[in-house]
Amino acid sequence: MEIEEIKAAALEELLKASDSREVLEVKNKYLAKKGPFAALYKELGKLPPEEKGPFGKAINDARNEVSLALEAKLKEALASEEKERLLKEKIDVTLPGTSLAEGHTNPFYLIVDEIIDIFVSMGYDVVEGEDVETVPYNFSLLNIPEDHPSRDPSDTFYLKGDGVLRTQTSAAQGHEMQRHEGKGAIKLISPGKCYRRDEDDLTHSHQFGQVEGLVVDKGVSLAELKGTLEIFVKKMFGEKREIRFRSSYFPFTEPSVEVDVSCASCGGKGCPMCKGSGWIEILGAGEVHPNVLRMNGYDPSIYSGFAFGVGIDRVAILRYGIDDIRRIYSNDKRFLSAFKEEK
Amino acid sequence: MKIVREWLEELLDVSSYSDEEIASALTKAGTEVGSYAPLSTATGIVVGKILTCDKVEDSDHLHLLSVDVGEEKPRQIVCGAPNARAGLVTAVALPGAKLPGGKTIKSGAVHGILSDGMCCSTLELGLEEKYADDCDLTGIHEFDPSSVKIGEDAVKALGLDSTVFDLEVLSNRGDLLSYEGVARELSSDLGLPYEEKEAAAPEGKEPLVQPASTTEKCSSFLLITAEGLKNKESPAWLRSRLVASGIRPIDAIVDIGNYAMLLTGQPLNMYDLGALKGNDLTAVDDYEGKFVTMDGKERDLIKGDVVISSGGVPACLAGIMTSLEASVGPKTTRVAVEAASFAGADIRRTSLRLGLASESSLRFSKGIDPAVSRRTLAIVAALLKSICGAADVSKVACYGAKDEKKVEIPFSVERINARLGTSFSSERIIEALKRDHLIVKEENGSLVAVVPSYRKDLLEEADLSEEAIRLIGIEEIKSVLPHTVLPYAPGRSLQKKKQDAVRRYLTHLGLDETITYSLVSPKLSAYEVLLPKKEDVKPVNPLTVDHSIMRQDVLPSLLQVASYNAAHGENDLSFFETSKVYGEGYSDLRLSIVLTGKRPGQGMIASRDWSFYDLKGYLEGILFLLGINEQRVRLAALSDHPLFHPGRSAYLALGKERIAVFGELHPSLVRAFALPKPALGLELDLGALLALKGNAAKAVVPPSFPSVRRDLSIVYETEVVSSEAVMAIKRSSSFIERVEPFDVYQGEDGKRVAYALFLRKKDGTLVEGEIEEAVKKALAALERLGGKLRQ
Repeated sequence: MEIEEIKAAALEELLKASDSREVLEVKNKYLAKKGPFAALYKELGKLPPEEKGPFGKAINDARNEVSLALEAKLKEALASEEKERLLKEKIDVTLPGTSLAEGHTNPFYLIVDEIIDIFVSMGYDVVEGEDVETVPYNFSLLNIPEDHPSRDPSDTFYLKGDGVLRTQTSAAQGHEMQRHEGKGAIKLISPGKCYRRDEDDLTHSHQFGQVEGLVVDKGVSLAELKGTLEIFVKKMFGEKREIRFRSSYFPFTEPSVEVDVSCASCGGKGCPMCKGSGWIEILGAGEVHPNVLRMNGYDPSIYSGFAFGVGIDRVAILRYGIDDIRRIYSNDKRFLSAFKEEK
Repeated sequence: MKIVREWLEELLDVSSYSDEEIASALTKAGTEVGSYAPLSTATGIVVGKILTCDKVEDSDHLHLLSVDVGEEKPRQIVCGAPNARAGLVTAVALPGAKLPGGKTIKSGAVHGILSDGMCCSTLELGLEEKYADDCDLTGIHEFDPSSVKIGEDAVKALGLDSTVFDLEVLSNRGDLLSYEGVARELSSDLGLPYEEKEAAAPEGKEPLVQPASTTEKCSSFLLITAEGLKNKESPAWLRSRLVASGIRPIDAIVDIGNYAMLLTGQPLNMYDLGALKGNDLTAVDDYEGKFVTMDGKERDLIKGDVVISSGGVPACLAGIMTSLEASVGPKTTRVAVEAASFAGADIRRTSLRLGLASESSLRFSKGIDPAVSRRTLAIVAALLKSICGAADVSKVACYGAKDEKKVEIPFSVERINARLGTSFSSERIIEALKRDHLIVKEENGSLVAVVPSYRKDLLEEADLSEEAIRLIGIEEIKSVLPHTVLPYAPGRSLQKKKQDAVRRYLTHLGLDETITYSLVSPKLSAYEVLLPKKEDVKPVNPLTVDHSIMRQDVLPSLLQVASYNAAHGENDLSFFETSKVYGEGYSDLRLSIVLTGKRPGQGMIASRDWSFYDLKGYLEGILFLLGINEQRVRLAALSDHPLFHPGRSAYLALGKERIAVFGELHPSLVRAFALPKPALGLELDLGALLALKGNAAKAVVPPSFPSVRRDLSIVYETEVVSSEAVMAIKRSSSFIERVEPFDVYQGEDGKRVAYALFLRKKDGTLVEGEIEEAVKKALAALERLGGKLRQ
């Protein structure tokens, strides 16, 4: 029959079609409005009614078969053509990306920010004082005697009147205790810049940073200070480092202690870094002297407290192996390039 | 304070403790031992006697020696020392000997002759030059033959073998500036019995001069006089103890004074009696005028300085230094020895003013214990007799000495435990205090500690808690965490959080964060960046001109940083810093940025010169970050700022206050700092921005109808600033939601700008007619500004 011939011819042509364009040509030729199947439908109208049914079904079946084969072949051809095109679009994935390089942070801030994070996580507030202080807050209210060497004009920058560039962030103690008017708990750290009249050299800088810590409450003991500093030192210098507490002297604390950490470069055996002792001094601390509490409005028979002071530059020097404190303030790009926030 | 073990052992039996144990005990209890080592670490050095000394032919300085080192046969040694001679007893390094520098001595040929060892000076054995004799400085050591045995260990014979501990004495522990003090402290640390050695006071006639004082700055003044002295070099044992303790031996009389001071801590002053003008030694504080100290320097004394005068003529700057005239010398045969007590603060003040410090002034400054004055004079008297052969030593004359009342501190074991956070038994705490040589007694049912006169640092109960714990050991405290929990602890303040957010933002964008000095030079301080300068805050006692004024702007410091980096070959720079600045009566938190050279490329995107718009972008980013929208601040061109390019700079104002200036730097400034080009800078009053409340976030319903974009390309013949044009377009139709200039071309023939107009209707989809109408209105608005549609 004619129907079968048309179908066979269409399928044969489809078989020969090698890409989607040729498949579409076959489709146009056979399934178009003026194509062979359309012609067969026209003939259908001329047939007597009893033949229309079987003939019509035969045309439909044949056309459907061709149509399905066409769609399948078209899909296959398009997929393979797309694949070919994508392969041609290949790029070199090893060329550099277009990311924005992050800047560098002076190690001074890396240390302050980390110290702040450690104490904030322990429930401390952060209070920043002013670089420009007065003699009472910097000295007298901290129980530093009139003739104490730290008050010498050879050690401290004095301003006109009773002004002074703060020599220690402990100056925050008086301000905060007075702000609390002798009542209630204080638990804070105070980071900032300090100034001392030292010639700048390998280990001295006329400007340096400190973080002061102060806790005042009923029953704040040396044991609590010890526990606090142990956590701080381990977080700052590593869990493996040993800590040593030594008795010491500061006018504003009693008892006073100094805290050493075992030397990282020799592990405690002794080396030039720790001057042979195996220990490196990192901070001073103690129970707040009763006079300091008293002078700033807290009754030492009810309240007690502890305070500590950490040198930011010193910690940076130890932590990063900086050879000269002046490098921190030189801001040499080649030096800064080594530092970024540790994530 | 340097402490030599050999001497310490005479005062306290520590023979069973190693150097390390002693150092560690002192350190833990508060007296840090910086180092400990013998003065000389040389080994294999013996005492030898030169038997023969012959010149080596063909050499102008070498000698061939035959040296008896206590062996069967003498050794042959070639030596170049000028003082080598037959009969000299010296130090000999035998083959195999090790010198402090690490050098090992070997037999070998010198000038072609076998040399079987080396004759040494004390310098070669490790002694510092300042302690060396003349012969040691130029040649080899000369022993007193009567004091040594041939063949014995020369380092030992020199007294250089004993360990020297270098103590860092805390400033409240002046009592540890003496051997007795250290022995006593160590006895407390180690729990050893300690007893002060008695010394019998001299019982001669009245002294030849009498002590007196007209000032309360001298609270006691004791003295003895001695006659018939022979001043000479001190014996070796005394010299070596002084050297080991860090004091240079001078002559016997001076050395005896220093020795006794080292032993008890009481500074002494020696006067040549023959040079005194009167029969008194009187402490006064009203002398004014020139004074020549024994180092030969003329000093200007003022009223208030304590001076010891004799017959009205000053003989000593009290507690610091004797006059040149009254000081003892080789010919001195009669001396007066002063053991006084001066007010530490006054001595310190004079010493600081004159820049003149001594072992004596150091001790007075830290406070001495007058209770030892008499005993110290007794020790001196005995030494003057035994070493200088003093025939007549007077008894002690005394001005003003009285027994001071001992400090008594009531204490409670509970309160000490509470302060320490411990639960030590009262026995344990009392035992520690007793070990510390305090007397503990019970009075009316409560405990009282009686403080020895030398512990001027112990005044109240808190001090006792320190004494207890430093002797019990801080390691005995069981660590706990603070019980204090604040009801609300926000940590960093809101402003600090915002400041940190700005810092992180800039770092993420690629800028480097610096820290520079707040104290700057007058030159740097003279640049006026953001605001007219207020009166400077400046130290009255700056150390250097470079750091003499508190800065009022940060930008000049950053320019200096950029300049430094450029000088080191880095031209493409981007730095920022946040810092407080100070002027009289005010402080600001500033942010400063400097950009020079090229903006770094990103991967394959090429680098390009920094532009004004990069800097402006950072500023806009900061405003956005802080939630401050454009309407709250005002930006305008800055045309007359001497530090900025007049056509490429702007300022930002908040109300009437100018809070930022930024832009390309003026070429004169770029030249002054030798900056790479282009160079841009910003100075922002960050504090003012942080103080603003950021716009609160509020939810919006997303628009239901789509937005349409139309572009307009305009040619201008007149000068029109972008913000003005954008505003005109926006106002021309309510459908225009947003306008973005996206292409700008500035040529000879004028300026072309392309604008993207984003249109939207709130209550429906825009139809073509509405869009055309709106675009026409926008065009008309631009035409009124002098723009034309580009054909």
